[in-house]
Amino acid sequence: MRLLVVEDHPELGPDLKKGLEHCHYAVDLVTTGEDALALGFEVPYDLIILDILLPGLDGREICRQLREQRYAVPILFLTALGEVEDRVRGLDLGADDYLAKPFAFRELEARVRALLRREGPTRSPVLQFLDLTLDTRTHEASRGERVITLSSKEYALLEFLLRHPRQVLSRGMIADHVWDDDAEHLSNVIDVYIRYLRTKLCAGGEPDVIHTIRHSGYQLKEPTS
Amino acid sequence: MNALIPRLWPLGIRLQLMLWYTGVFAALLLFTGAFFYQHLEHSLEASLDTTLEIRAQQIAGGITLVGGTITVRDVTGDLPGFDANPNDQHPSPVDVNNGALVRLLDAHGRLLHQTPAFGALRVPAESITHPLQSTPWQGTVTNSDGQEVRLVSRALTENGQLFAVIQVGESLAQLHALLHDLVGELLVVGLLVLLACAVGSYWLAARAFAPIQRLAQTARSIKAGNLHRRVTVPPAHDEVQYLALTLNEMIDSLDQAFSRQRRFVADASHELRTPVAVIRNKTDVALLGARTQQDYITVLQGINAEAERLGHLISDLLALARGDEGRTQFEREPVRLDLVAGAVAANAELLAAERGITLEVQAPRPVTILGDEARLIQVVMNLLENAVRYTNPGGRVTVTVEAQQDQALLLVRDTGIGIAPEHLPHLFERFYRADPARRRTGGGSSGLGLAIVEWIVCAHGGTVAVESRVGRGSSFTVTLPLTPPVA
Repeated sequence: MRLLVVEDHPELGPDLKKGLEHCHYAVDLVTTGEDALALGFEVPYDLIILDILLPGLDGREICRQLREQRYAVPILFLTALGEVEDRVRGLDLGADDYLAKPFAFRELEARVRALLRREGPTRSPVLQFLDLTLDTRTHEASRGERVITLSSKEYALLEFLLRHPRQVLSRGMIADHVWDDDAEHLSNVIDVYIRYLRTKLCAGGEPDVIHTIRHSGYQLKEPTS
Repeated sequence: MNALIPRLWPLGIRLQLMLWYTGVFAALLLFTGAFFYQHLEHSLEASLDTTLEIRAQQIAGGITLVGGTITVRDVTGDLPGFDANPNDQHPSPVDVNNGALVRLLDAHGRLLHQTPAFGALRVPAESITHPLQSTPWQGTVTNSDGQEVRLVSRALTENGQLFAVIQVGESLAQLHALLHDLVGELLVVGLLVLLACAVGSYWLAARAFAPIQRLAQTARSIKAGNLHRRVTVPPAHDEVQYLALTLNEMIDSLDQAFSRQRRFVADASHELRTPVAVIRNKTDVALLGARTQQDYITVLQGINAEAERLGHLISDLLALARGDEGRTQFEREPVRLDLVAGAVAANAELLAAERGITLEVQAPRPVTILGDEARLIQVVMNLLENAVRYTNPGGRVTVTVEAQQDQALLLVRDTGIGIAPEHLPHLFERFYRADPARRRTGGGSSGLGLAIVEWIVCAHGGTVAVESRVGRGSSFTVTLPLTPPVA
């Protein structure tokens, strides 16, 4: 899942990026409102975490413009403005959630999970497809009873597949949502990561659920018997 | 006026230099003037003293002691009205500048004679007591108007016996007037000299900075369009030459960077134009007349393939551009190089099989390095694609991963067409073509693959080398530190 963090604080921004990356999210960090808006229009983010007080365009303006242009990406305000008035105003601008600083990182993490859940086919924090499960709280994957250890990229890839079951996902789409801005152009290595993931998912002799669609991409689907 | 102040302030270097020169010169002038004045005043006074001394002696020549009585003869003509009667008082102040100032006292300090003008002087007691004790005295005294008079006081002796004291004075007014005039003249001349100094130093500063001005003008005229031009280096080994050399070095590196960039852009646009031309061509032909559905499918598939090639090329360009900017962040996570090689080879298996090439992986033991897995995958992928592309059907491509001491080795060998020795040094340059025709028919190649390999390997603190023999095959060796240095 790919996140945009808009935070101009020189310490907090990179810390947020690091923390969220630790949770296997692909995170782009920008420090100005202009950059945020440009990326927000360009990249199909799964979630935007917005500070309100920013140099240049402020967070509310970014939110207003995105909504005006009919961008439905979930937006979470993360700001020092914690008064009831501020919260109401933020949410009424079209934001999906509002978290006032100071905050516990665990809470932000949980809210991010909750917002990402709203978009998918299930509201459960545990993503499931047949006997394949992924607990987004503990970052544990398993197939039936077998626990699978995944690398960060493999986890991100599996999460994206599980959130879009039976959809044909092109390499471009996968790259957009699994890689951050720094590595976006690495879409040609996706094949190799899919191979890694497939090997791990089928290590116990289970049938393959990741189907290669020639010239299109990949699809999470019931195994062909 | 208001517009002038911001134009002068802060002071330009020429004005600063001018002010410094003039200031130092003014201080020097003041110092020498003061010294000169002091010295002149002193020596004028000394010469006046000598004059007075001589005059006293001349007057004394007419004064004799005859049988206890002092007789005075006016031998010098300095003593008109030299009153024989000392008690004759002059009620009105007498001009000390007018007439001689002479007084004669006896051995007891009693007044014998004095000229009328002398009566107005305030004479200190020492002027009498000192000569009486045989010590000559000279000093400056004043009259009631404050006018200064130089006074010399001498004892007169006859056969070794002191019998009188003579005092001769001279007004200092003339001397002061002389000194006063001198100061006035010095001031006028000094100001003129300072003015000349200011103008001269401004002119000199302008001259001194003229070469720099010329340098700046040339440098200014050198723009992106004519970076081949250089500023003229002056022959003298001085600061200006150093500046000129520095400027030229800077323009040199700019020039190089610009031409690299130009070549890169030219190559890139050429590479981008090719797939576009192919797509145009395919659609043009398809639009010529009615086709079967199968024909259209074939055309669309061809367009798809070209679009994919374009996408790859753009991705590669983007990657290298970001690398050049130094914006790329590399992860540092443990990466099993042997597994990477295996997975990439397995991925390329299909392509190799289509071309009748045997693909073999020799990675029996785990080799773990710290690095960016996705990019290392790209390294292996590019090397493998390259090897498969330049190997003829029936050939063999071998990937070997092993650890040697503190280094991880990745070898990609092929039994392909090989590369001529003259191309080897340029192989990792962007868009370099060892064999232009073959490159184009190879398909999928952007001409950037090896440049990207080198960039990624270098960023991991490693090296990449190539050996090749025409007709026998090539071998690429990537060496990566098992524990790479902290970037």
